[in-house]
Amino acid sequence: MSLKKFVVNKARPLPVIILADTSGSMSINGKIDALNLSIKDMISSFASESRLRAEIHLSVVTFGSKAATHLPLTPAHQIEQIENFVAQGTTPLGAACTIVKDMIEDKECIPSRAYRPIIILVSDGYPTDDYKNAFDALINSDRAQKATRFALSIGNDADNDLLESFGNDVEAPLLFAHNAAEIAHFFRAVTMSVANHSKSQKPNEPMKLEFVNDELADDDLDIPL
Amino acid sequence: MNFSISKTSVIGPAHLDLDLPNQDAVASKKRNGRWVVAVADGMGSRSLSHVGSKLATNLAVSCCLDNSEDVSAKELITDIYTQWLTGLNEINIEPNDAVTTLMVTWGNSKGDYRYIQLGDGVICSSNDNHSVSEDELFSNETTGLGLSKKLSDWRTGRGKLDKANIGLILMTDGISEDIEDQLGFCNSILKRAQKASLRAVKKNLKGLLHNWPTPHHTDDKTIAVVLINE
Repeated sequence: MSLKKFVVNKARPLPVIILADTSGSMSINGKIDALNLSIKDMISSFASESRLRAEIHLSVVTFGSKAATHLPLTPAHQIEQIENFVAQGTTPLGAACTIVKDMIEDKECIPSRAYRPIIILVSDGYPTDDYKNAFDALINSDRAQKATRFALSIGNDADNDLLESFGNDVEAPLLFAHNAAEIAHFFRAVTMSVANHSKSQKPNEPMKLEFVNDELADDDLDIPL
Repeated sequence: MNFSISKTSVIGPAHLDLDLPNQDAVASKKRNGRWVVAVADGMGSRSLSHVGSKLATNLAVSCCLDNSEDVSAKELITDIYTQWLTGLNEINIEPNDAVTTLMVTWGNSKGDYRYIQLGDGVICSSNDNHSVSEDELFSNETTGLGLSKKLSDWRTGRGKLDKANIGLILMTDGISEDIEDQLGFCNSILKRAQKASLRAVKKNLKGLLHNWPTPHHTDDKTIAVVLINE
């Protein structure tokens, strides 16, 4: 066997895991539509990123009625399409945390050569299952502790204390979206930050969330140049 | 039992582009039936880590041979670390500017060997990967001389080379991070060296390190091979 065959010939993965609330309340005020559109935009942006320094891998785990792996961890450039989320039922966050914990601890799924994962929790309500042990097990697991974790609180009814305890960025422990447009705004920031992070000299450092000003300056033309 | 030692170090593309020195270092010596090999990887973000890595390998080689064979790991590590700090102080370099990993293996003519390791990289015999651990999290969780103050940060151990366990390999993370089956890789190198010659394998390895298949790799790459001479 050639020695060359032992060498991995692709860049190190940068895993991004979205933990998305798809419970019934997300169907109100266009929240689920904004989430669907944001995830699709995110995938198409990630797919077009250079894969030289790091290859972005994306997974989406949903919790609405039941917890499910909506998209297994997949290199972004290989994701052809993603089914729309349907908002329904209760908010089983604990079951979703168990899925993410199993994923992040699986070294077949996320090898040790991977860069620190980025986990994003998005929710508009209070968990309805017995979530505490599973939630704590996720955020205290060795590998999830090393991950960069952000949380987005949607609307006025989210469990902000819980979401804040999920985030581990001291500058942005919890972010807020009060309407569909702000959900899109948050995901644009995540997309841009991950893209820049994947091209940086140090993709293994914790990632900072960078927000862009979506409003056009007076002198800017709204053209897709 | 006699041993052959081969060392190969190639500067990484990132350092070549910036006209910076190779921050890896490797040293070895044989004396009175004893042998020692040391490999170090200076931390990329530190301006003088090439000085730190070179000093660390040279001191590790002399400390291993100057101390008795049964010196405790703690005593040996303290000896190397203290001399490293003194050496840097003499040339007015702050330890934090010269941070480096360090891997050392040393042994005798009976085949007994020992190893110590601080920071990334891999020490592997034909049969065992001495650097694998359950607490391995993600890439580049680096520590090194100039950062670590705990004995527990060091990996230490011993083993025996014989007809079934024919050699040892030390490699910096510029190589090991891009190899999934590290034990298979090391085994393949050692078997080739046994079948052909260490010189032929060195040539082969140099070619591989110069034409590394992982896209956009940046790191310096250093590998040392210790092989039993039949």
